[in-house]
Amino acid sequence: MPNQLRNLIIVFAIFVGLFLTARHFLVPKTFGDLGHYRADALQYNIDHEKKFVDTTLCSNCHTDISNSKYVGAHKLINCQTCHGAGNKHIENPTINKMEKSSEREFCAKCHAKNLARSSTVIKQVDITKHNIDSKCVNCHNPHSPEIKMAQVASNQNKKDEPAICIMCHDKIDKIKTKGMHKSVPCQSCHGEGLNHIKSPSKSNMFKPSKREFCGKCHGIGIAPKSKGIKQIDLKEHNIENKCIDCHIGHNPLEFK
Amino acid sequence: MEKENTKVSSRRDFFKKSGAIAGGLLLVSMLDPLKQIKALAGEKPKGKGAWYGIGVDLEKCIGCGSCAKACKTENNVPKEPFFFRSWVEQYSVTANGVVKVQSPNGGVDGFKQPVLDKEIEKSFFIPKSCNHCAKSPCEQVCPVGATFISPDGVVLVDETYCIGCGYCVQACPYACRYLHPVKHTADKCTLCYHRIKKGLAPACITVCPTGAKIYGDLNDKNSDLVKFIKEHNCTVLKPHLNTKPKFFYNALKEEAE
Amino acid sequence: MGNFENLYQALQQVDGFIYPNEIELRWGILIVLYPYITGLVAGAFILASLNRVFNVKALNPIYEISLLASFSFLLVATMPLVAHLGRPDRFYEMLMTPHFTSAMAIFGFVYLWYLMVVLLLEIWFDYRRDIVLWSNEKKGPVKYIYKILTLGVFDISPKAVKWDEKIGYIITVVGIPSAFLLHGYVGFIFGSLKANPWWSSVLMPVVFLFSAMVSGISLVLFLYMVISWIRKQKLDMQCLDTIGKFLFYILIMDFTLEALDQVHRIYVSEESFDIISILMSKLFVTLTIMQVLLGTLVPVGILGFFQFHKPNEIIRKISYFLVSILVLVGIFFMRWNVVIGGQLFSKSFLGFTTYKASFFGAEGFGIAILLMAIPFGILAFMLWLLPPWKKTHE
Repeated sequence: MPNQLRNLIIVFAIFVGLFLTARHFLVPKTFGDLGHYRADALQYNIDHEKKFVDTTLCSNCHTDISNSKYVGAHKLINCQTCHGAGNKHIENPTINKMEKSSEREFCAKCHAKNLARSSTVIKQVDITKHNIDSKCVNCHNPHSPEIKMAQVASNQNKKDEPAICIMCHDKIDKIKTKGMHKSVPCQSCHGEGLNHIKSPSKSNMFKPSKREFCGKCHGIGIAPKSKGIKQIDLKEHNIENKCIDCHIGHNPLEFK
Repeated sequence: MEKENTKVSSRRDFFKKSGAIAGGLLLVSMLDPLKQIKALAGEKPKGKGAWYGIGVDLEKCIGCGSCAKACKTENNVPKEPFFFRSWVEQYSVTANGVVKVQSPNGGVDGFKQPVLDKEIEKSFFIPKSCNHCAKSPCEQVCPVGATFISPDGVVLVDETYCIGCGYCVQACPYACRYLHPVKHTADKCTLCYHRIKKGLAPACITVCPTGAKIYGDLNDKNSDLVKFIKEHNCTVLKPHLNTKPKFFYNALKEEAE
Repeated sequence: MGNFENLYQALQQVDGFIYPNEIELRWGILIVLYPYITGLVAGAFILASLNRVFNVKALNPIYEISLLASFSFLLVATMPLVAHLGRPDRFYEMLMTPHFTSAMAIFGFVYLWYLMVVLLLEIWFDYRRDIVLWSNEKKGPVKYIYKILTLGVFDISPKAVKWDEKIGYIITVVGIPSAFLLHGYVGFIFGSLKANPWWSSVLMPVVFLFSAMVSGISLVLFLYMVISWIRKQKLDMQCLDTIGKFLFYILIMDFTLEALDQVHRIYVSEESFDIISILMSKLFVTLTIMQVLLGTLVPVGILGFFQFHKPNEIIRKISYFLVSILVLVGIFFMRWNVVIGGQLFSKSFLGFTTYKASFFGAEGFGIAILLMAIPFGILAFMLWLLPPWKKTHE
């Protein structure tokens, strides 16, 4: 063997030796135990902290809510689906609050009308039309969406109590209490609401729009004279338009 | 197509074998060769222990995005709309067959109520995540052994060992992987390995309001998943790629395959 | 947290539907450089071996330049690869625990084999006698560099030199398949990904190999002309014409293979074809203009013309110089179209993302330009250390 080849082989042997030594120290301990990976990586993955907790922890404290939840349509839904992961809250309930949303968009994530949703799986509403003035939670108990409506229906004998209307139509009530119509009961204009209370989407309330309807109270010569009610001559006052073209029905001194 | 498939797989087999031979030769000279050669023996035989898979009943999926949102929380996935371990897509097909797909922020914030479009004939949601393929292309290409299939069939990443080359990101036909912007290593669905090994359901399944998504042991005849597959007409995504996904969809429409 | 400005911009420009994880284009300019540089290495080496193994005497003037250029670029070849890693500090794992089913892991060993066993040894055996001579002649610290390079063997008897010749020849013979392996493998890294129809092709390793030869030959052509110009030496026209002839043939083979790949794609028209045809129109500038027209058709035209009619030396010199630059640029865009093009469309086949690269930053164009400049620096050093023109030829 020529000298140059011999020396070359020595140099290579040194390199290979260095490589093997480096390999001895650099290959992780459990590498190759189970496959071409670090067997410890399994435990590493298992050790990841979990965030979503067991919901029995929720019902331990929030017994009333969980009781009401277990009778309604949301009974199978995990608390954390709407309220987010509970790991921090169970550590310190006073400092770390759960997520809570009463926005329409939040409920719409599941319940907005969508061709891709099966109507047998989920109840859907057209959120661009369905009672757009109100938040969903005003009418529906989120933990058991039918309950609040059922309560209303069972209270139907107290039909003249505006509170029933306010439950769903609180935004209108806020407008109404600011103006002259604040003491006028809803029924005076919208009529009896028994059917609507039973099934709000199928039976709509009466919505007055004719001049004559307003004239019943406000028309000179038509309405019985009563103190404090503004009287208008229907034959002269802006006869081209309907009253509600200019006046907001629930607060008539505000204009559109 | 059949023919092409066998061609591809035999090419890979050849590669695997020649790789193994070359590797074997190389390993003999290394320090503890036996350990490595055992590792080359390859896949764990099915039928022993658990072999996890996932199932989704698309008829029940309402596209609320709870799964995608919960996944981000549970697994500390960056909140930016470029990184997802789990996400939801909405497919809409018009009468003349045009397919439109959307997945705004991976569906984490849900889907807006669509403006009524008479053209659209059918529409459906598809929740997606790692398919935990039995012949996983990402595991195949990982140069260092940082991605692997666990003994119970879950494709995992060893983030303490990953070099962040991104080859697995390229190899995954389902785009389930991303490079974590802080850790600079590959990241993907672990089927919430930290939960299922403690008997808890993965986060996405925990929060699913309609019970559309399930997981289970494919080796256990009585598991929910095996029953689900038996009772439904299930398909997998991109079956022609022969990656043997273990994510089974009921009622998957042809447009989404 | 990183800066996501680029990604938010890309999100705005998404065309059609892409999977949510696909907005970030994973492999950027650095991975374009990686096959480009590796190709230059393999190509330059194959040109050198033409001279030695196939005894093409006309190529004598460029034998050493080819080897040293090949070596200089090889030293840099892994740099873009390492630089683009998320965790470059863990690069060694690829050599410590290579995963034998991964094309990328095997590349580490192919690379080492090529560097340590083929190129270094071939250069060493080729220069050994001169190194020994220089280690005696030179003065100052350089002397000791040469002394180390001798590896302690000072025997330059005719017998020993004959051994050098013999072993060198064997290494070159081994080197040719190694060079094929080196760059074929780079093609395989892309070609073996069934998830990506733009990459997944049996022809990919072969196409990469031929484009490597084309680019390597052009590099040597370019370097030979520039080095001769700097040294104010007369160009060997016979050598230039021979390189031009080889370049012409291999360019045609390369173009044929790439055209075959595309024709096959178009004719077979698999499910992915719709998206690929849109991709091709999106790549109009880099594919049609830069790669095909300027990088292939114009050089083929010029070189082809020279095969039938040889104009005077000045015109030929200028043309060869122009051709070498055109081909080098064209092959760069070929790598670009493969690497970047392959990531522009979604694996859902329903849409496109965009590639936004900044000049600054770890994966920006600045680093890429720097990486492309380094091999020229190394080459200058190598030419100073082992000047081919001071070698003793018998």
